[in-house]
Amino acid sequence: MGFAGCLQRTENNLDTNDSNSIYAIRPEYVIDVRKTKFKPRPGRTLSERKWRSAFSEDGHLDIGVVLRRVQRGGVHPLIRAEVWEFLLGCYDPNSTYEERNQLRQRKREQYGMWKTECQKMESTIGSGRYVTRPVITEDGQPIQNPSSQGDDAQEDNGDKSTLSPVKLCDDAQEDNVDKETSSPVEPCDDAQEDNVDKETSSPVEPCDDAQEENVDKATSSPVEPSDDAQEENVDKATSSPVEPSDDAQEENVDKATSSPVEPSDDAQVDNGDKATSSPAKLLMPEEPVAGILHQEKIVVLWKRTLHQIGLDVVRTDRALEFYESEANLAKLWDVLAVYAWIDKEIGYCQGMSDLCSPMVILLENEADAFWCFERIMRKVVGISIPLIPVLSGLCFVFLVFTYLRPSVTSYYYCY
Amino acid sequence: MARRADEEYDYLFKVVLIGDSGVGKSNLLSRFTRNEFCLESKSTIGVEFATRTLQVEGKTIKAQIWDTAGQERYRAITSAYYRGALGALLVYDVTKPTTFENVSRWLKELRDHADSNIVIMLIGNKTDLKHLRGVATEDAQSYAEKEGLSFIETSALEAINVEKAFQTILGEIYRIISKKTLSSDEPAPTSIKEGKTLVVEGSEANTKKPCCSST
Repeated sequence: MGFAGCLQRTENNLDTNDSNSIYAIRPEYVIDVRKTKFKPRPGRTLSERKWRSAFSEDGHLDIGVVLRRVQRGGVHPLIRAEVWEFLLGCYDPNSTYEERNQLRQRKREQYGMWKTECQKMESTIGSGRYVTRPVITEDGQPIQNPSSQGDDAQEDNGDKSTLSPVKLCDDAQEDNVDKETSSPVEPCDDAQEDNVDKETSSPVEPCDDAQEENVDKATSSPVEPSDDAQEENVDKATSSPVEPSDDAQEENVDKATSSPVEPSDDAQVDNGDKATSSPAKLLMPEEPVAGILHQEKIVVLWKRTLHQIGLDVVRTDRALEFYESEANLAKLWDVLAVYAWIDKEIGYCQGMSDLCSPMVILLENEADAFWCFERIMRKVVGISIPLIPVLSGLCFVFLVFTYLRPSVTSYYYCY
Repeated sequence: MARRADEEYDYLFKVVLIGDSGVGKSNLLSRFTRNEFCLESKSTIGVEFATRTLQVEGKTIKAQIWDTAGQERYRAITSAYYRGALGALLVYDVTKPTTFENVSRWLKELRDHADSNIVIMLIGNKTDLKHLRGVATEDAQSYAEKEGLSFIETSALEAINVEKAFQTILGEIYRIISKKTLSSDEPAPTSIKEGKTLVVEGSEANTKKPCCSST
């Protein structure tokens, strides 16, 4: 069952070998794994050639063509990572290569900064390891787990009974080095750049519904008082009490809760916050007095979720060879841990590891995987009921995946 | 027809599985209801349940076992989860002392949300991981005695004691139910009998009322 199962047959039918490795199933699971019915069909599945030809010279994407193909025959595994970024709305189809590169860079930097922030609170983040035991008590006392990794590894092996010993892969270390060097960005310069970019290159964070409108505005700047304008108003409403119309308020709530992560649009706000610790503010913007206590509480709460994430990470898509690698388990853990930190409203909820895993598998870059996952979560949260966010949201995500990618459908049927 | 035989039962008992995340609740469930152990099982989201019909003390019992996510935040849905539950299997992982230490919290949870007469059984799961054991049988045994719970150690992986655990708790529930039945001359008050109206304890008056009586 699971993701692995759904993808198994896909592998066999692929005409190329490149993508096989990421879906490979560990031999001991092959019998248990359910077979997928998905296979790329010529003329129906979105092929790499068709995908490339849907871009104009400077990078505008004819999303209509793409969607029709995706709907008819799914996406060829080779290009899934790129396609999903568009389908999830990470990038505006009407942006240029250049704009997207810049945005990607900013997003990676933003993720790097958040990760560094998390790392300062919990050193396991970004270390190529993960935790499966509580690191802190409920009242905030650190729990010392000397050589916790070793213990965890043993336990995990036990659980899985057939697993090979968990090791720190070289890859993981390399990865970390890369990230460390690239992430700590001097905030000042960047901030300026950010602002400039925004003025010139437009919002490249397409609102799901108003994608096309956004695009128009991006290219032909003349002011059009439409959705975008409203959004801007809303933004202002948060900082200065201007006309608290019902609508604006509602939207504020939405923003504060469901989508606190918007590096591009909110960059101005973010830049201010980055020097300190930004995300906490998003949750409780008006609580200056108990601020410090509140902040501590938030950190404790976050740390309390880390081992839960770890417990789930080790049992996410574990039939895949991909997760034999300690570095890949740690990648999934890192993404979820960082997400839990920047979206405190949701934090971590069981089931999120399953939503995140396909992104971590498909997108090689951890930051890119994070942002795809963040888009998924927005869609999930957008239609959920407060008490059981992921539960109800899953239905929606399920629909999205049914539509986008038949092969993954049965994966989400598991729920 | 096998199907019909399967659907005929004397009693329907709802039993809930609780305990920390990752102790093996879902695999206990699948071992008991389908005799399966899923090596690649995932974390449970929200609530799932499965049923199995079996003979307990000469009666056909349909056991409806509810399984829930262990994560604390899913506690928001607990009141619905515990509603009507006659038994609770409180599971910990014998290799992880913290999951045993949390048993008391789960007991509190039960006392807060479940029926006060609920039958509780403490289960130490994963006994197959002998070399990793972190909770001594005696400790759990004496804790269970102190709290008035029945106790058993199981291995869902090796299918050890799983059947026995469920048989035991269902038997206990049955004995309680049948005692009540004897003393009140009413059909088993807290269980649902096929084709018969569910009688809420102590309210024999509303048995024959239609559910939506619009005068």
